[in-house]
Amino acid sequence: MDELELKQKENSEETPLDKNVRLMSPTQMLLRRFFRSKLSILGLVMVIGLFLFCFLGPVFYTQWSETQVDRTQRLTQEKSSEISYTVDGVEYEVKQVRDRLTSDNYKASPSGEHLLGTDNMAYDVLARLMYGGRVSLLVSFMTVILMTILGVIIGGIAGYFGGVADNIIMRICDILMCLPGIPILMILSSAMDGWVEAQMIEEGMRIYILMFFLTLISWPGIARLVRGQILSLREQEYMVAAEAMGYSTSRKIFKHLVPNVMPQLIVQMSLSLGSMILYEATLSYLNMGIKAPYTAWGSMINIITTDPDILQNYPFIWVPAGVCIVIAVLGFNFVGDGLRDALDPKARR
Amino acid sequence: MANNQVVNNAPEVVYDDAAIAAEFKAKRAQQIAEDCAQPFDPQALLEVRHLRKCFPLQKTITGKVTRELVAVDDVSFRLYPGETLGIVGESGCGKTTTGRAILKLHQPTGGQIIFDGKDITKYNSKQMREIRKQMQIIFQDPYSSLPPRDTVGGILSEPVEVHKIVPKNQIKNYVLELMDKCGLRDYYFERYPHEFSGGQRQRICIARALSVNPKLVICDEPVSALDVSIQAQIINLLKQLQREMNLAYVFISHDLSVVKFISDKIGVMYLGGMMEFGTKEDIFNNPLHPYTKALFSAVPNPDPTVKMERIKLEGDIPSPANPPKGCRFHTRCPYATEVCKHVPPEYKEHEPGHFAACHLL
Amino acid sequence: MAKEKTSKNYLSGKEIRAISKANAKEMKRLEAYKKRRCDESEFLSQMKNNQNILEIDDLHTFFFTEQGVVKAVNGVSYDVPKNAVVGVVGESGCGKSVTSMSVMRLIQGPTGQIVDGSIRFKSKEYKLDSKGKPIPKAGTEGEYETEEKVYDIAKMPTREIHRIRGKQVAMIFQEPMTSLNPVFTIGQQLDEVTLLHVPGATKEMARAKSEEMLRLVGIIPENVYKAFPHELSGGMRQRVMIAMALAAEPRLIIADEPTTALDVTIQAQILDLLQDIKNKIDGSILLITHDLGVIAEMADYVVVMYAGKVIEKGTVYEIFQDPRHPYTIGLQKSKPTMKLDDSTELYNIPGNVPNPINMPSHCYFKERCAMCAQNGKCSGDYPNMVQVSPTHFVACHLYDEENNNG
Repeated sequence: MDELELKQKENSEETPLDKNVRLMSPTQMLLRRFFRSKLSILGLVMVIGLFLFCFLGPVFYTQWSETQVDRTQRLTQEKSSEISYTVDGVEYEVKQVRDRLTSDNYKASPSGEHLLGTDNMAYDVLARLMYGGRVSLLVSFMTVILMTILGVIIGGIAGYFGGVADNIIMRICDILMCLPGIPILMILSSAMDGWVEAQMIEEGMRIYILMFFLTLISWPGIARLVRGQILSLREQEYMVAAEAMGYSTSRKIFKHLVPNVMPQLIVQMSLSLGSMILYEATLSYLNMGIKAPYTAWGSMINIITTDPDILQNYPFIWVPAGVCIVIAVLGFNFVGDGLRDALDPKARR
Repeated sequence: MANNQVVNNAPEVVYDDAAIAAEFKAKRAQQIAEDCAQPFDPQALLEVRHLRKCFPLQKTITGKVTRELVAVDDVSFRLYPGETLGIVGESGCGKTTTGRAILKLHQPTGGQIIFDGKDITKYNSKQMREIRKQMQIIFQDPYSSLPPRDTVGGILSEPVEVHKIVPKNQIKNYVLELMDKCGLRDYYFERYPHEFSGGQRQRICIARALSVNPKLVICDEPVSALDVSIQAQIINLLKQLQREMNLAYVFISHDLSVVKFISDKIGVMYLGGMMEFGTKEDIFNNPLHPYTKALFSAVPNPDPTVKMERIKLEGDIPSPANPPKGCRFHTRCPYATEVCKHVPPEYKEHEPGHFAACHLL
Repeated sequence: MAKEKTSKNYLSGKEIRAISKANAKEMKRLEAYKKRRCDESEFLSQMKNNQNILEIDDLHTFFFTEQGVVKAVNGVSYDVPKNAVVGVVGESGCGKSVTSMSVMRLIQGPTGQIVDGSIRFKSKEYKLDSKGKPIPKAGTEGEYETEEKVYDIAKMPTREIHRIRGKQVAMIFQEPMTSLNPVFTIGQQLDEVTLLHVPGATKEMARAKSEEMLRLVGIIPENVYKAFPHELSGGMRQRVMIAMALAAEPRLIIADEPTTALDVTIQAQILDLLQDIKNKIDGSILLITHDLGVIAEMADYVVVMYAGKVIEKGTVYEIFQDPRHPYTIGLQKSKPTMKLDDSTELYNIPGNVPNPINMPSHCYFKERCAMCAQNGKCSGDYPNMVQVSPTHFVACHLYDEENNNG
């Protein structure tokens, strides 16, 4: 009803000049700036591709599951000895070959059966890549979200209330930023060995607990960002206006401050996603990650530590996982950079 | 200047700065105590008594302030409903701080602020929230004073909703009415601030300030960032709204010609202190303080045939963190004498309602 | 309903893509034009009137933004005579600064481009011998033979701009706080100007020159020469900026809102200084400001701009005592003066400056004009410049030939 009246009113007047002018809405501008950069499009494609691969892939690739061992027996020929000798100027070479029937179809080369072959335990590499990706992505997402929640709350308190609280929180941040992440997690992991033996925790929980501890020491980055943003936003006149309007503190924080911190926060989150995936990979590689029969990308690379032969002769077992990690980290970083440019037009050039 | 001559011929006086300062301080403390005990003026909407605001520059570890910047030093005035008080001064004179201290956006260091018969100086933030809808502020920069991620309708509805000015289902109509009053077209309701020019944004700011039906509006350089033709529109709008809603304004500006147009009373500030205060007619027809006179002659005249003789002020404005001793204006005053360099002048009434702080009067 | 509204207010994705495609093509072409290598003869030109030092002729400077082409300067022509002060006045967004930036070729590419028109500048250069060295003047020391050349700045490739920038045309900016480099002393920054632009200058010469310039702008050199910019107040910095602009003895100084950021009393000091300097130097000043008072005090000629076009130009007396264009008249009336009168309403021009994208084809001022002619001419074509006196021009249908005759 209201709108109808409005419309009539509009039509009755002569159209003013500025009515004809059409600009871009804020969302349009943001999307435009984001998609102008080829790299951010590439990043987006990479990230979306990985997600589809990991979460939708297993729906279509049903031949093998994560923990399914290929039990087909296979005849392998093993060279056991090689002798060469010369008789009357003719060179003879004698090779002794032993046929062996393996129990499992391990280290199989890529074929129609196994698109990326099988690993040393006769798991299908492609299936494990998908399931492992789920773990890697989930773990890093959870970590980043947890870290952001912590960082926003703590940084928000420091920035908004200032004074003593700010001082204490910032000093804690300083201390936490001095701590070396990997060594501490290694110590923690070895402590956990004991807990696992005592059956206080399950082996599969190890990576989740480790990443949770990682959150506890890596929130200061976000907290500092939020605090800085809030400090500068508080000086903005529209925040003073909100104060003068007599809005309550919670309204000021949640309606006026947080939405304005969001852009920077999203950028920071997408950039940290990349580094969290790397962290997860590192931990898994150091054998602190998820254990068989389950897997993650880092653990799949970790296989090479068990057998140097794999590193040399069976790249199809570990290279795909590495490629996935590279794609994930690059993708998140490209998207983060693109978002940063889109959200902060002044930073461009 | 007659006084000038007399002082120069007098036998040389030796000034003991420390003693003078101590005496001045004691005298003023007594004055403040006396004035603050006076009953409130029942007619006045706003009464500011000896307002003082200091910002700490240096603190020891224990939190004791060792050096401070006196942004506003001993400013007093009264404002009646429907009146406009103009505050003029150059950068660093404390005019903006005065405005914000009245709204208690800065907690005053000393003095009293009496609004509508209530001493709000000691009010806490919860008590202030109730008072807030009766006093509003319009800022200089129309670009940074509107939240960028909200539509015009959202910006204007929010205060109405928070302070429950009208029932919820009438908010939109109320806001549209308000927008019409401020010269904003109704289809702006769903647009974002970044789509508007400075003048239109300033109208949005005005509409936001008026949405809660205030009695007092602090206008902090509302037209300085605008073009001349838009300036005139905004000033007319402010005057018209004042008539309609019986608003009182504290109009802060560095532009004398604008202040002259809108104000009933004018206060001239320099380095945190009130130099001269009086009605518009007093200040413009009979300026007493040399600073006021210099300010008048510094404004460029848009008439090429008139070549004015300027009262030239030498040098720069001293830093407010380190104001000169004695009269704060003596470093640039063309008539400064030896007394001015050591003794702070008294701020007193020279004609009824016309105050000035100068030794030469 | 909401959806329909949005689509009406904002550009659609299709339109945005069309705009950006057209822009990209145009920007590429103009960037290539700026980067081309060419012979000097291609941008040498002739002045129309030899008394002028700068002739801007039908200049078009556009900004190719994502929301459409902003015609910031849309056919601007004016001249700067020798040893004169030309004031350009107009509101924000009228293109007065963009015009001067075009003269300096400081328009930020690739979005901002000079699209059409010419900027003829008469420069005074050192005569070069066959080896490219300046020829010393006989009987003097440190002075060289000079010659006059007329360049068309709009056609110059970017690599040739150094011939005029800084040396021939200097600029004083609005913001004295940010236009000086905070990590060098005032002395270093001043010396650099001389060292760069005077052939064979030594450090001693540069210092002597810098100190002379500082004295010229009313600063005692001993106090300031070794100081860093942050140690100076706003007024002092603006003086230093003026000294820097003067140091290379330019033929044209562009002062872009030189006093806007300053307090009134400091502004008065700087204006006095500029008045004083104007008589001492051998060069012209192009003063850009929105303040009519400043223009009235400083300028000999005034150009009034509105929405990217010159709407009126003439001598300062003509513009202030006999303004013809309704906008000029309105602008002067809406400025509150210091005279005490009892009028309750300030005269104001209604409405806002039209958005620079999608300008109408008729007079840009029509919607705000109080004197709009009733015969419908104002809804027709954009008015041409009409000459009302030998020096006074106005672009308004009120003064068209037939109106004058009738």
